[in-house]
Amino acid sequence: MSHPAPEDQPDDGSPPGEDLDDHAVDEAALDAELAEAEQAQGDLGVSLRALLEPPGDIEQRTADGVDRSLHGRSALSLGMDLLGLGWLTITTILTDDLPPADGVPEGIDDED
Amino acid sequence: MLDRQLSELINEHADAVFRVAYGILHDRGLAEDVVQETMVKAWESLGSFRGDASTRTWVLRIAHNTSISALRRRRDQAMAPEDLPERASSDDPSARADGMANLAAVRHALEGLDEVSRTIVVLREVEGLTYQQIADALEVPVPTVKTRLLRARRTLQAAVDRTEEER
Repeated sequence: MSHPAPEDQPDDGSPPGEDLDDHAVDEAALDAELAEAEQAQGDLGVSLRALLEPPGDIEQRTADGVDRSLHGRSALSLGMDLLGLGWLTITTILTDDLPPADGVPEGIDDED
Repeated sequence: MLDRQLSELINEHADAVFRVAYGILHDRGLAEDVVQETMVKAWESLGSFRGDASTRTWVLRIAHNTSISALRRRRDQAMAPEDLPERASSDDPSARADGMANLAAVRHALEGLDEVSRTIVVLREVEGLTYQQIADALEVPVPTVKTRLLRARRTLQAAVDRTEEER
């Protein structure tokens, strides 16, 4: 008998064994309960909005951060390309079994 | 200078992404990091976006998943959320809103919910998404959205009611 690996188990903070996805529930009854709860909740939405309010300049700060991130990646990518090119050049120079320029490997004579 | 399309993406969705991230992480600094990460991911995968869902739903899905990843990274660092200092922020609404006595209660109750339920609450109560849009964003069935939302509302409302009774 196999047990699910820890990484396969839900990681949403729900208590083990609790069926949060109860599909057997009567959806019409659920809708009615939701509507009732919505009416009763009063200022909950207002409180949530106040609690989760983003900084006033979130767009500008995000734009600046994204700009830096994209430039950083671009510079890193260029650096890696240059490093790769440098490595290719070094290995090309140091490798002594390169074919000659005419493409015919050494030791093979043209008998014709 | 950012691409115009990327700027539009940020201007349209940064607020909602922040609220989803902050709802999960309870740390404004980390939430801002998630906003940036989400925008970079969305921008880089914009070409593969098939348009099955709205752009908003798609971006909010990335935001939710990125927030969960950030939460796991934080857990991996073996630090409890309450041990993490909030990064200094000059416009922390919870600090401003002294008059809203129930804000702390709502925050505490929100922290007690699982991450999916927190996001459902934010997407429904603050962003005004439909149940179907929330289900699309989180890739869960609609009945799951409704069930969790109902439980979350009851939990949050109970916290608010308790605070008002204590006054």
